[in-house]
Amino acid sequence: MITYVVTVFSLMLITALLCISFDILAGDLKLMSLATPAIAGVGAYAAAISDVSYGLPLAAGLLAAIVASCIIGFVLAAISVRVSDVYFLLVSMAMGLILVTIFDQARSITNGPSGIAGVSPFEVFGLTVPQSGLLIGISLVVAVGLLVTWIRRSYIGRRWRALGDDKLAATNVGIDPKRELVKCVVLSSAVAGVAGFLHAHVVGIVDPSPFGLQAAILILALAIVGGSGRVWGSIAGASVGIFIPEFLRFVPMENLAAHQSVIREVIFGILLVLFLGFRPNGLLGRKTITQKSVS
Amino acid sequence: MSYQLFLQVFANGLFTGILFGGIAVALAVCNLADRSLHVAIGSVIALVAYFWLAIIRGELPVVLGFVLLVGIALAGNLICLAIYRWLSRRGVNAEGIVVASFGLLIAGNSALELIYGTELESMRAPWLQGNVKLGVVRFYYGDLLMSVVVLSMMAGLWAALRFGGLSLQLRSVFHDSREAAIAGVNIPMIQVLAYCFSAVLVIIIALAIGSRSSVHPHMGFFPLLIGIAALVTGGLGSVRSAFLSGVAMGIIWDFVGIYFGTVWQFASVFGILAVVLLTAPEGLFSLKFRWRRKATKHSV
Repeated sequence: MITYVVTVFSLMLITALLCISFDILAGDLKLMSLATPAIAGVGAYAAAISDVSYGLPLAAGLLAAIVASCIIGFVLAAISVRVSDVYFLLVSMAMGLILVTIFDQARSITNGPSGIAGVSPFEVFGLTVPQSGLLIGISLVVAVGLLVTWIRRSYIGRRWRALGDDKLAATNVGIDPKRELVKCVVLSSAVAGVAGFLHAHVVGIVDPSPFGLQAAILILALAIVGGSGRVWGSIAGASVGIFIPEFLRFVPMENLAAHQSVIREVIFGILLVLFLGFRPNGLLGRKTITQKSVS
Repeated sequence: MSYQLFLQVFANGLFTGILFGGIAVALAVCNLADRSLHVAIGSVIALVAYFWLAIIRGELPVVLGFVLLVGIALAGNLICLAIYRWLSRRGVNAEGIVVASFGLLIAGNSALELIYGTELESMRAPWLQGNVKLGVVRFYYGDLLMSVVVLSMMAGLWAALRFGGLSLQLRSVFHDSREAAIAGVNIPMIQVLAYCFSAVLVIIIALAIGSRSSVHPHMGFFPLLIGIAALVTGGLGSVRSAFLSGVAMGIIWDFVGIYFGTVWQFASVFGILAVVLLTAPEGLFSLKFRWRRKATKHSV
């Protein structure tokens, strides 16, 4: 039972990192990216290759995951500097689909649909394998959360928020939207890379299936339900997204456990619409400048 | 590649293109009416396909089946429109409505999965699977039926836009719905008409996709993505360019499938979309482009 609980918490932490990565763009620059899981996939593959093929230490794997994800993030930012709003969503969707096709087809690097198996699990302080994973997962989420909160409170975060709230006004006071977009996408990709690194070592196998468009839409739903603009919102969204279907396992109804992931998608699809209508800031989201001034 | 194979692939690509073009037009008409990207149409396509399946298998009487089919398609699209309008009234912007549409899509597809399961159902009927050979190229009845209906609807839409007052009203709603309302355009009626037209297209698209592959809850998802790519590549705001770029995407799709393998089909289509967005974010044949060209011509 403890192993099950620890594993579920570890999956929640991976999802929380993905939601934080999504929310860096959505919460500040008001840009929705559907490439977040695919970029995390790049990080996961980088971590898996550095571990399985080269036997590098964990720190080197983490660095490889972050660097690889940042490079892909930079490419995404470079091709999307001319687009905004819905077009950014579509460019990121295109990028995500192309990346997943590459995961599937670059067999010499990614081993195709079978994926890279045998990624070594975390083992620290003499703890068992799942508990080590949980400990490292918590450490990474805390570190990333503090870093993102600090950046959001710094002048960089204020520039991003200004661009998100009123791009024209922000540009008029001297903020370069292209440069800020690149910074924001690269930071978001670095966080996705950390999520990929954690995924590779907790799950133990990296294959293309968890990084597709369905996952991207689910992350989008969780981030909006949790609330944008705050790390706590992302963690709340990930918690609701992971714990509700796990809770359904214990409801004594026929076939409910077998369909838990499908039920989760139905619930989150409906919740997404309801939250957009009734509570656009999500469960724990930050209010915009306009909302604050009105209240 | 032999000459016969080339012609056959081209013909198949043309039919695939008309299918993608149909989806792009269904999206474009909705987009003209309310500036949304009606992604949830993917769920409506799958739902309608299950009704087609019931009619073809004889589980529903033909007349009742068709009435239900049309009713379901109209209801599906109009419920989505009602949700978008409600969100719009609550101050949600266009991007938020696209996100909501994605939510409706995953909820709808998953609900269908709960009802019908994930098994692939074959839509076999002699009037769909039979074929006729013209020269060296083979044409399937299902493809011909779909092409005739889609092209007729395109001609009807063109006539309605060209000779009726609908074109001006749609364009005014697309460019500035507030001013259009002040000018007396009945925006809710325009939106209902657009979504009904889109629903009729969905009926034939569902049959075409089901007869070409199989019926399952997520069957509308991937053709929908190509439809979105075609719509954006052509340029938002133009039905004709959406259809043309859909046809081009279909031809590219089939040739890439033959030359490089089916797994690269999506990457090629979305690669084109990325390049177009990078070089001409307004789309290849968009209104802005035409205006710019006209403006340049006049100034010269």
